[in-house]
Amino acid sequence: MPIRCILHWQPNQGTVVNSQVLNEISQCVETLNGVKEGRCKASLTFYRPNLRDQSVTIDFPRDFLGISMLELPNKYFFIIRGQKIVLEADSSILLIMEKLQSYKSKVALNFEGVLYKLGDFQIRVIKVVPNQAESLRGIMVEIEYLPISSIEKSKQIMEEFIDIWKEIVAKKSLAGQFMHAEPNYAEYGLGDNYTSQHTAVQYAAALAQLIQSAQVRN
Amino acid sequence: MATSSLEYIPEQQKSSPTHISSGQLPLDLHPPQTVEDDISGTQLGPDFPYYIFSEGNFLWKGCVRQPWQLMFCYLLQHVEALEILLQGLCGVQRERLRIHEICLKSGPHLGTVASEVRLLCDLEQSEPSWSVRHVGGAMRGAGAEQVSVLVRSMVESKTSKNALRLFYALGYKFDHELLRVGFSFNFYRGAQITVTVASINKMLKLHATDEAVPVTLGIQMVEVIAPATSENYTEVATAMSSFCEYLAPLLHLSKPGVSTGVVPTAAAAAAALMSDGGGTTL
Repeated sequence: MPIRCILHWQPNQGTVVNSQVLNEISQCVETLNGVKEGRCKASLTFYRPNLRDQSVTIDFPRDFLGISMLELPNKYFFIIRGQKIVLEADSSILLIMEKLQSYKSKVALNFEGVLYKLGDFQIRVIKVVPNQAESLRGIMVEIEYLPISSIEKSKQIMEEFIDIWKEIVAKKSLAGQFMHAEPNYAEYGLGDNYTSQHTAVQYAAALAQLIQSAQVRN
Repeated sequence: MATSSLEYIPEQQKSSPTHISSGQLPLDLHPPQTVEDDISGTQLGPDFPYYIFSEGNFLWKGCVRQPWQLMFCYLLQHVEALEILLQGLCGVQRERLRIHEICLKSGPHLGTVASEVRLLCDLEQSEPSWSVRHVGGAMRGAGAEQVSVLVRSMVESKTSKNALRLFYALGYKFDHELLRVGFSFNFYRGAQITVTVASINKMLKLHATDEAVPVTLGIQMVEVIAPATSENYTEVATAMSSFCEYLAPLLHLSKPGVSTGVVPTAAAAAAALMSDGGGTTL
């Protein structure tokens, strides 16, 4: 499948992300003649172990995450970032987890986005909002290059596009910037051919960055 | 608990030391860890998937650390006869089966109750494919009494290859593993039925599927499974029972604890099937 790169918005020290920033960013896409094509959504859920003895939490992963994507309704992804594990499963895995009763969902976040088409590229402007609430927690942009599936082969063109994108955003003089930190896919056992598992890993990494920068600011 | 098990006791084996009289209760191959709520109370919605099992034939319980308990013996040659019979009945090609099943149990402290999950790796494909399966307890209550098959919930999910790593990381521990080698038929006859005939093999070294040995030479398990919902499980059970009657020349269905005895003509029926390649009408 076509490769994607995810950039997350890093607000400047002392500022927070808000819907005005989101609007400005959407306008940047329109500046590039991006055409609105539709919507996209992903949900991320943090899981915590259900323990008989609370003192042993240290023995269990703290970063166990589940991801569902609207574009893949029959699939579910699990990630344990600390151990670089990603698993793609049928959505029935959720029923299995429910029956096992060993882990419970604690926090859920939604990645809600608008999809724009720009020639061979597609851009998703994504807002990160908690489930059941509207408050904006973060912004991400997902850049997809349709003709190529190889991460290596698409590196150059992706980097060029990202540079153009950053320049356009910079002109708006917003209080922040887009950051791009590509995960080490090999550590997750993923190859050069891009898959939904790569997307899941990127979502988890971007979220970790958002959480980290929020913690630093606070 | 209502169970139908296919008993296979060739006459020749009656006096074998491993043959235990059919009066004894067959043990469940996969003893459930938790018991599901009575389905007649409809705790779960109408679309909740249940799998109906008709398990049996050699019923053993345990893992590599426990002694095997064998209930019924089965001569290898009858497997071929059974295959010919099934081929004629199902009208589909058989599929070869080579499944590595790893049973994991929750470690100490994890979960308010202990849980068990099975990882299955299909080794018959060119690229091994994994799935995760949870088998629930058996259906209880009035509804269960009325059907002649075992009704249990079973949920399965295909996964990418990291399933074992993930569950270990989540705090699950290896309990036992086995390798099923045989064949299966998947067809529709009143219900979507899968008949599996397989030998159960244990591994002498952890995960060493190339070095698996049969738990007991010549022992095979015949399993008949059909998916069902809480709305249609009686119809599916009827379809399964009807189908299993066709296997009567070689195998018998029975509830556990209720002996149907040996199929006295099993050996002769098997010989007839083998000699003319299935043209015999039984």
